[in-house]
Amino acid sequence: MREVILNSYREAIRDRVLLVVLAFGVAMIFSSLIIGPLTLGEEIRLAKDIGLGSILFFGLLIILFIGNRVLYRELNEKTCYLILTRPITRFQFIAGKAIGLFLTILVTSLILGIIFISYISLLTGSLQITAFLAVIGVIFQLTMLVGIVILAATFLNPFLGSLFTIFVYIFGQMIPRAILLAKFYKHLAIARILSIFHYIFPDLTYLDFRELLIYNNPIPLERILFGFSYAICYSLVMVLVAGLIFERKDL
Amino acid sequence: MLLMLATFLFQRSIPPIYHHSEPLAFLPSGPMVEVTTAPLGPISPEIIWLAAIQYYGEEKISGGKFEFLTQVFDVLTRIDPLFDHAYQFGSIVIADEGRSPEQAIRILKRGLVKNPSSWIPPFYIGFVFYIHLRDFAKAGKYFELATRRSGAPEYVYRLAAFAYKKVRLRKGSILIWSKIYQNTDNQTLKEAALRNIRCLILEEYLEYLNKGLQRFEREKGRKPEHISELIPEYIDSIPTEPFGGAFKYDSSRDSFISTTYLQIEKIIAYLNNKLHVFKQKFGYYPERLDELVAKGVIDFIPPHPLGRIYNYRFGRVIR
Repeated sequence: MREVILNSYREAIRDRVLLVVLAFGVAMIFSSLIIGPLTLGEEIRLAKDIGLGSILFFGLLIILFIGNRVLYRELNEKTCYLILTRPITRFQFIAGKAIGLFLTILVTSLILGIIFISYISLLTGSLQITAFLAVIGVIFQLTMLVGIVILAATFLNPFLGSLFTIFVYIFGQMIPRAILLAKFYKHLAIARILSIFHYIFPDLTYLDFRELLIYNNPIPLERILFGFSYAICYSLVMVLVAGLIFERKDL
Repeated sequence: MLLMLATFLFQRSIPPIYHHSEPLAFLPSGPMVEVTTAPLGPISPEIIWLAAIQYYGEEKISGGKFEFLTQVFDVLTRIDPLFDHAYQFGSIVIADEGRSPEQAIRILKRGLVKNPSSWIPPFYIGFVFYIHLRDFAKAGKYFELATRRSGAPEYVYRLAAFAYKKVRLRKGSILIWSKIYQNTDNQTLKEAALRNIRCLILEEYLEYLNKGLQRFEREKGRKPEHISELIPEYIDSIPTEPFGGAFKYDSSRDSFISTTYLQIEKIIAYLNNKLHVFKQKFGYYPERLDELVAKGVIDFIPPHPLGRIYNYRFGRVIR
């Protein structure tokens, strides 16, 4: 399994798409230098929001571009047959691919994160400790999306897999607010239906620590720990389901 | 290459879109916007903030009616209810230039609930009641509420006392605007604060001069021929006009007036005349003042001597 993880990681890290996306991510983080003067005194806030948003957005792009192809390439080029002849189960193979992709995301997000934290620390003139937690929150958000993309890759082609992941991301972000909206307008039946979907789609808001980063509003430790454990459990369940599907797949 | 050149020439020939602000008409409103912008994550409030600033700037330059100003700040404070600067800037421009103090209060009242630890929303509700609606009791109530929230500066306590004692409106207003001027990095807000302070000082000086004039007329039984006749018995000195104009005695009105105010009256008369010309030429009144320039009726809109925006409503510019 160790070889699968390393192989998957090496393959992803060598992909040129990754470099392009990373370059755009860095450019986006520094874009606040140009837009900043137009914000009427909100340069630092803009730099924080754009930087954090860039790590999430470009992480999502990497997941879409690379994550969906990780399994497809192995199946299409039939290299997985060779791997599966070794003493490795199909589930271990899928888990290895997921961990490899997670490592890629971890490395790229850390690169962008360090650039982001250094940049805003320079802007504010002090080390932004809160930014560390915000970046870790984004990495955990991306971990959940890694689980989803691996699940999608087991039964969909890369294009449909990307659509599926985007769809899940968008709905995951919208559902918590849509439930509040349905309750506000007293559409309790809709609120109940949405609550069911809330259990299926990932709720990324648990890992959104923007309030701490921008407004210095303390976030309770329980919420932080719950967010981290939720992301780990959700990703594990997604990989588990992906493994089960892949085990039953007719190769 | 030829195709590219043709495309370039074709695009150059297309006239610029006249109404820059129309895309804001498609901005979702109400609580729905919180749902629809969620996938954009932390970038969404920044996009709306930049859109709000751009819209404000375009409307200010073109003499527009600021019809989407309330909507854009409503959306912004919904997706980021803790954004104090949006409440501050939004309430000032909606009440002052958008001339909709009630709408500013509506947005701020939501901020009162959604941003319970900040003194900004109650303070600016008090500000709108004090300066625009002149309801001192309500202003005092909200200034007092702001004092109970953490971080409220000392002048909020003073303003609460001012409002309750019904201290002269101008004195309190100058204090509020000068504090806004001192405490903001927002250049547009600084300019608005400075303009309002100057206007208030101008009114203060006019009141001072006219009081001296009344005393002069009462005691001497005649009108002065020149302002200098009032010095030193009735006024200490002739104050400097804050907008660079001068104070003049107007015998037809039997009072002192500022040449800046005379200039404003002249410009307004000129614009109303040109609006009439526009109506005769095109059969309708322009939607915005800059249409006068766009359709060639005038070369440019004279800048407002007080740095304000002309109050253009239903085919007429009013003071």
